[in-house]
Amino acid sequence: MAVDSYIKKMFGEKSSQFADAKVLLVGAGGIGCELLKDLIMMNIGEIHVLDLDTIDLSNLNRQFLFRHKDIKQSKSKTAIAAVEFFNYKSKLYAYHGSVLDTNLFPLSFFKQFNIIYNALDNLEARFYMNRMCLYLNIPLYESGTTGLKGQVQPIYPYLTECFSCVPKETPKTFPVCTIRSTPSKPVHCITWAKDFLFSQLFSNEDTNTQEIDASEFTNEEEAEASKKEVNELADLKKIIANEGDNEIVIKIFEKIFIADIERLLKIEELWKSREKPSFEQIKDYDHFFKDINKEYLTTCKDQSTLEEILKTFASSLLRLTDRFKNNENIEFDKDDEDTLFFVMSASNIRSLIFNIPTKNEFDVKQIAGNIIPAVATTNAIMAGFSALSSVNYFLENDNINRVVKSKMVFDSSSTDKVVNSSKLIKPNPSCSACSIVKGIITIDLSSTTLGQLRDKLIEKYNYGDDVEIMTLDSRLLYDFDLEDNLEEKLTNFINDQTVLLINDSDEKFDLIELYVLNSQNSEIILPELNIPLKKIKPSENENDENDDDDKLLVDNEENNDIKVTVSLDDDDDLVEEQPPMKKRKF
Amino acid sequence: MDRYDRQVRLWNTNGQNALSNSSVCFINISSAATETIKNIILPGINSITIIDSQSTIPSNDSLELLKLNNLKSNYFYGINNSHSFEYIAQNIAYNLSNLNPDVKSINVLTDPLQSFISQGDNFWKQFDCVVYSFDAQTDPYIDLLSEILWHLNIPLVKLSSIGFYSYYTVQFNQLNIIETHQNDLVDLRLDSPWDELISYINNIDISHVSNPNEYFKYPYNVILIKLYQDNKQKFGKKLTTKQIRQEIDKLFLTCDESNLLEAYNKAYLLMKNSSELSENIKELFNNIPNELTCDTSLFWILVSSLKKFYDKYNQLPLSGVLPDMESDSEKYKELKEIYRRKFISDKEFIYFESMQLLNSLNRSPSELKDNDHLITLFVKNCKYLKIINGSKHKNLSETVLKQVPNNNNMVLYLAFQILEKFIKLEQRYPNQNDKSNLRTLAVSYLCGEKTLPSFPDGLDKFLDEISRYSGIEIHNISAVIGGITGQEIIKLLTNQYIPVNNSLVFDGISGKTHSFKL
Repeated sequence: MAVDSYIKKMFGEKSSQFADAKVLLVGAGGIGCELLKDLIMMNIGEIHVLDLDTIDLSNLNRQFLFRHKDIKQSKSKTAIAAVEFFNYKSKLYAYHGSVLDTNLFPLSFFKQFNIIYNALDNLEARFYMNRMCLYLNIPLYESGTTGLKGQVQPIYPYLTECFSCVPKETPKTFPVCTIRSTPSKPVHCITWAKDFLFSQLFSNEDTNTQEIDASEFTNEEEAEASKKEVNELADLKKIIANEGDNEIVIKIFEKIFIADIERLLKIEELWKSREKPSFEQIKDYDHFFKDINKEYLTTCKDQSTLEEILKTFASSLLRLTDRFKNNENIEFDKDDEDTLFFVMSASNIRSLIFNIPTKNEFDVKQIAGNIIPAVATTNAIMAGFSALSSVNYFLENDNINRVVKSKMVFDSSSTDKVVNSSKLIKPNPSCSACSIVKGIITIDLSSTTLGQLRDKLIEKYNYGDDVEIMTLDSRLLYDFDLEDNLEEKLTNFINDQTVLLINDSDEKFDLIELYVLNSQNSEIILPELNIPLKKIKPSENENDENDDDDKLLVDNEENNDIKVTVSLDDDDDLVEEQPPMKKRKF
Repeated sequence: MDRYDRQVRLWNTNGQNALSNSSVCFINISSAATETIKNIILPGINSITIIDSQSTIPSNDSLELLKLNNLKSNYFYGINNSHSFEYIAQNIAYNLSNLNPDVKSINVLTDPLQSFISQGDNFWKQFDCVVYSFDAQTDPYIDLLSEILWHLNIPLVKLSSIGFYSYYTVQFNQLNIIETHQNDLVDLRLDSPWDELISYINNIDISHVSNPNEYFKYPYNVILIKLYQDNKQKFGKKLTTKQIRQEIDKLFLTCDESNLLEAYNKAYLLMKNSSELSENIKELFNNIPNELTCDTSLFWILVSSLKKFYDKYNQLPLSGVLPDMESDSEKYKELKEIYRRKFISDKEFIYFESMQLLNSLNRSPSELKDNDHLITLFVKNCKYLKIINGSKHKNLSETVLKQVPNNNNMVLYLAFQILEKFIKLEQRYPNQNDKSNLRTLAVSYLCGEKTLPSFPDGLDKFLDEISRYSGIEIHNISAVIGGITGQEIIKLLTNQYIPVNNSLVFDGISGKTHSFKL
């Protein structure tokens, strides 16, 4: 009995569309496991599964392809091995790696797929996949869940809203000075312990990357104190690496919880409208550090007594030190007990000093791990909708009809529906991703100069005078002030698989994005593009040049709302003039 | 418990305990049922029982053949594994059993359903929920079962999936939900502080503060109550949010007193009338049994006490839950203690009232004494308690005919009713050639109900589509309805969140779900 019996019966000759398709599933977690099963049951020809993660105990409540014995194994590989017993027809391929890694997954990798299914857990990878699909014009089925909530969004590039069209709520961040000098809530102390203390002590990354920006502090003294802290921590890191006895605990404790706080206390400005930190609650610390060892107290998760807090700090610190000395690359992981306990106890000590309520393991884990509640049922529902919605792709012949048939699905708060669905909406004309014309450029980076590229661009796209060339992270490579760069080879600025932004110095044409493919001995091959005229920015006349710089900066930060703004009045006209579907040829 | 860490954040330890002590029975196996079972095994159900008597050796019966083929196009029916099973349910149970070692057992019972129905309450009361997938052989016994489960107040779920369509219905007698998760439990009681809080506030003077540090001692609720009370006395009337904000503005010394800012932002909370009852609670009070007896559940004893509390104080008990607030932690702790004491004393009122009720009914005091956790939950959640009255399965088909003219969403459900009638009559699923047969059946079915003026819009479209399916279950549809059913069962078993009451259809072509009460 063949698996696809129903596909044939239901869809007749169209069933071959399923069997001929090649799809990519990005993420083999909660939604991914379900989706893999659903896609196999649709008899899809080839399913490629990509995930960078390994399996944790806390995945097993929903990721049904994994068992206890699979913990620490690759998700994508285990998922594919797990479905083997089933008599499926799909060809399956697993990739263990980050989707952001262009060495593993260059643009050409994505190009082979008919559909891409996102089953991701983070915004960065979602934005990235969205962009890849825009470059390649591949339909993207985006999905996500949080607890009992979830949504599925089919994205047909340039025809429907893309993932960036609606600004996403980004995780809350705190001012640097609140974290470093004046915490007032438990979350401030946890953020400090995790993002500052832990990464300074155990991260292998160069500490210089954490350069402090003095402007983020309210006063110079404070910035100075902070800088000192960082430098001294670097010293402590050396102690951790080279020494090894229990002295470490005392040294580190007295540095971060006594000396650093005393330094803050001297900055009177800080405490004018705040309660001062105090050592009152931790003054007996040396008593608890007399006999310390690497075994955690059985009650250490409660964090209700000073003993539990301090001994957990000591034990986790020593254990992490051992691991650090074994050259292990330690990163904070909520499921790695030593790292979690260290962050928990350190944040609680800080809380005691700043007179803030302490938190137990359950709470710290949630805050530090950005834990999102997750359950099998919601994942099953949303994965089901994602797969189901993509059936339209196989049944319809062109994207216009696919768009008409496809639905966006999201959880409903009212009890008379479990989910809501809505038609797909046209793209946001000022979207930071899909409103910008995109193309792929093939070029030999080692033999071509920036000047040659500039000339080609001006010639090909009929720019009136000159262009500005930038990277995606808004590094300016060329404008009329940077003529020196023109003689330099492109390898000095960019790599294969990066993105260049080209702006018209005359402000006549709109910004464009070019994806760079490096190809030795190749001529410069520029894509055919219909570059629209610059959208009119009503306030622009009054703005000076500095404002333009700001604008460009913001343009390139995908997380931000889009700043190529169009006033509401002009909006309709623009839609008329420039249909949302911006065709791109290459 | 680490295995369940992500979900415990949704329903807490008590919800997880409820789940891991629950047993669910599935009558007849189907793709949708299999998906549902997977979705409750993973979160850690105690045990599953499957009643299904179909053997793995195909017979010539068309319904049996169809069922087998449907299951084979379903992930958990192992085809290649070396085990040989006598019954199809055993094959599926085997493949489901390794999903979660915490699940005690997945039993397969292969005797016909009627033999278990004849055992009555004794057999069925071992389950906390029963799930039935439509099947022509067993359907005649479901009314009897529905009667038994109604009296035991055990939910009976019915689900079915064919082609792109599926539905879910549930019969329960009454649900008493304490943790509805409708809202966070914070209750500041800004508009009507109690004696202890008033005297605490009266000892505070924020009008003569010269050092900004002084302000920081007070969390925003203290500032708001203080301003509100002072001005009410001064002017003899309540201030608006805007006026309160103006008052707060006057207090700023440095512009960055974080607790004043918080007070400014939260000033609208003063407008809340904390003595007003929500519709939920009014309905709850209206449903208090006229006479409490030995059999009245503890829930209703507690609700009776709750009503007494309200009648006496014109307020519901305080939850005692305070949010994180910008404040000096000494003052915050003091305040938290005041709120906690109020919660404790309100809870004691409920406790003693309930104890008296139990006494008057000659019931054992241990009912309360052993359930302190429940009483705490009850009082903390008392503003959001909810009762839901269900309706009997047996009467559903009559109800649907009465309601269809007023509710388009029910037409698909009606189509399923006609489909099931067809299958019971013909002992097979309709196919392409049965379009007119199905319509004829629909007309004769509808004519039995005189109130129906005409053939409902869209019914013929659904029936035509159904005849095209020839009884095929599409895995994707089963996966979705299995997810929804799993979610609903978890709500019922944990007695948390508000479940669908009582029916839901899912149309996979339009991608829409609708629920309605029959």
